[in-house]
Amino acid sequence: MYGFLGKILRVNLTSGTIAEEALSESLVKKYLGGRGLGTKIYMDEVAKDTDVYSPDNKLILLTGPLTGTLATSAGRLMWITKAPLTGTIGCANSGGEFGPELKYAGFDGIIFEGKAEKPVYLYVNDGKAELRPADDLWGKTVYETTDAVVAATDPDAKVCCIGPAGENRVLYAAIMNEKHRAAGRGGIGAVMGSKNLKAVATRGTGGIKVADPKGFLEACTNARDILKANPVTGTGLGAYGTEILVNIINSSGGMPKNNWRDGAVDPDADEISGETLADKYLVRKKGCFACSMACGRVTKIKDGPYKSAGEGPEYEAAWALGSSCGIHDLAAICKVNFLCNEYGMDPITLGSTFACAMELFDKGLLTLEEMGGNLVFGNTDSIVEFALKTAKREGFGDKLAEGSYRLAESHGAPELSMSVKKQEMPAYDGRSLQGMGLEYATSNRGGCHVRGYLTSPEILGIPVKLDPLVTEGKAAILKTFQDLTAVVDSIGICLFTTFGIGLPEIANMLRTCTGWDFTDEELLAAGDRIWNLEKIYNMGQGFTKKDDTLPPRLLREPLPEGPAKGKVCELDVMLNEYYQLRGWSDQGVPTKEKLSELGL
Amino acid sequence: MIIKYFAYFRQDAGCKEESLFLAPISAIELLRKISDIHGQRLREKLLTPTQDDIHPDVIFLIDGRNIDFLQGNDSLVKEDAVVSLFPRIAGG
Amino acid sequence: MVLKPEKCLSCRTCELICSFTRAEEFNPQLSAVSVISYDKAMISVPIMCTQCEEAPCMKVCPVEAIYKDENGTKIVDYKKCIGCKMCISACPLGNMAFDGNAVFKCNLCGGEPQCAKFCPSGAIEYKETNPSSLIKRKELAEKFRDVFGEVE
Repeated sequence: MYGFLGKILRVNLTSGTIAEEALSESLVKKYLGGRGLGTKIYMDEVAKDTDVYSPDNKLILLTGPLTGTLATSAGRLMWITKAPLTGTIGCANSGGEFGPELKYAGFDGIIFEGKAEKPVYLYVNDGKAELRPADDLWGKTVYETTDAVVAATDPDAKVCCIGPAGENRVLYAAIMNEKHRAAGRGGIGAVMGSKNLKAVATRGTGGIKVADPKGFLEACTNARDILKANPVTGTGLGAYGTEILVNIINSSGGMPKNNWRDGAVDPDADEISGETLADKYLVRKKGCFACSMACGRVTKIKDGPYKSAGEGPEYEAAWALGSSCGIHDLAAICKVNFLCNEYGMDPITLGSTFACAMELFDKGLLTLEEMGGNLVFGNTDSIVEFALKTAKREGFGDKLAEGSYRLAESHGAPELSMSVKKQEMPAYDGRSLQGMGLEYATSNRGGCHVRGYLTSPEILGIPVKLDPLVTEGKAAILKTFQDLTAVVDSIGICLFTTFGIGLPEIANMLRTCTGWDFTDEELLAAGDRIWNLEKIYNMGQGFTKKDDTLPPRLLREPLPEGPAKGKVCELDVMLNEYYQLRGWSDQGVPTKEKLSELGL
Repeated sequence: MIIKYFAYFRQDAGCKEESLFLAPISAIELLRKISDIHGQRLREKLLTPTQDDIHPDVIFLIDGRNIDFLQGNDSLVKEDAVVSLFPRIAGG
Repeated sequence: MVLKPEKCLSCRTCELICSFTRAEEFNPQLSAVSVISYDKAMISVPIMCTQCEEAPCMKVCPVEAIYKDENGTKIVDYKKCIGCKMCISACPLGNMAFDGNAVFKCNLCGGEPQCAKFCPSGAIEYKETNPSSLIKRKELAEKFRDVFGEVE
């Protein structure tokens, strides 16, 4: 096998045994790696009714065949398990350097099963792996844990770990790597915590070979040249990071304010924009492994009440802690983002949960007494205070740790949770960006923006220009985006490369790396297969058409102002077309013909 | 009308936003006027070299609506409009 | 080679293309350039052979296997090299390494260094002339031009 090494580790945390297993090349060809292969393995090995925190649940880490090579931004890895927040398939993607280092250490991925009796961490080093006690690490932050594990293993070791949020089973706990990179959403960090697995460290001095070295070099050089010449991938992302979206989404009337209650045009948006971050707090840009785009932000608040340093924030985090909560102090938003990294938590769900609490308070459904503090719209200090309380499940933080849906439902108003399948929708209003509304409703892991990022055509005009206010054509392009994203998430490169390169370039890099023979269409069909596989899992967990929906606010409350004034999300018409194009019944169930076409 | 500049257009225009008192004007004419005011560096980014078309890397919003979905280069900018100009950049 | 660590993205593309060019494998251990990253100081530094004027590796080699080519680049002649690894000890900067079979160092890829070609940010550049303070002076002058000069 080329690209992939063909080897994974199976770690049984109950018995402490570690085994090396071969990957079947035919399975890899069918599901590609990362998200696809991880989901397939997960579904084959874990019984449908397994509880997320049961020792019988498994946590899978998988890289892609391109991870660790010269392919464009080839540093990605995927964590797969059942998501505690939603109960859907949970897969969270991360960049950084861990994925390549694991492959240099000789392994494409790791399957964690069982539960350790006491906290442990795994160290994988050049073909060998061992479990080590982590009693003295339990309770430590992500930064402290990483430093300690590096000191105990190798100065150049890369470390994935959970922070207190994962240990405390915050439903949106993350798994962090290299301290600042996050596999953020869905609560996969809580699954890691439930297994008493504190960290995974790796150090490798091996290498990766490709099937066609000359062809691969040509394919990668060509793809890199395209990214360099493209204004988004060549200059824009590096100069301003993802927060560059603040002003354009806001100007397009798409940045929801105050738990999506008060329209989506924020007069103070510029205060939390990428431009302002670059002016005030950016130290430099940073790239993940093999990445030329460098959208990473190395950020420092030098003084004041929110003095802090770290990486980020990304657009969705800045929105969730910012406009969504009526807050416009970028320093405070940065500080909370850093806390999320340090404690290992998703800032998107955190901010959206805060916003939900804030609206519940305004409606008189939640009291200051119950909150034990002033978590109200516009109260900047409160997001810092409650971020810490949430990570530690202290006081009201214990309720916030359950996410906005459970918070709202327990207070009699589930419709005030701006979520789909219990995961909060990030920073693009589905009433002003109709296609994003469809993405939120149909995404296999709940309210997710990234798995079918129609913001790209609807606002940025990439790869084609689509009017955000119309429904025509959205279902068709969403299917393509979702399928292509599934491919990208499975082969180990970063999704942002698709702002510049497309299926042909991606297929060329994969072909010359692995030596596999396939057409571009067959590769996209693999994405379709992976999407349907995830759908089957979700159906097995009881999700039906009624869950492919949006909060009532998006369906029934027209936007009060802005270019999309008067609009709601016209989901029904798009959804019916979407099911049809996907080859599913009008209840959203993959037909026998579709499944057989995909070999499922 | 108010012209808002974003990303590196701010450096080229020397400001974040400005008010211009103009009669209703087409989108492309407005960009020519702005280029006259702010100079060659901005002109190179807003217009094609022949100056008969808007540069493909410009996103031009009138009151939040992309001119691609109005009347393109001929989209009318009224006296009280808010124009937002972005270089084609991204995030996610 | 001109290094500007303040531009380094810590992406390590240089390590990838170097090891691939040398050994047709993606393996930072086989790269003649390494990126050293400092989390708290928030900076990364690419390091490779500095082509010393008074090269200790050349001086210490007992069989004179390291020579200077027409560009001033210090190259290992593998026909003469006996693999004693004295050069590894001699190099004060850590830029001579061992790949399991032989010692290796940066040879500027025969005149077209690939790390400079692939570096996305210009942190590594290859300039034929000696790095000169005039280049840096010009960069500073340009900033004054931009702020105070006449707009065309």
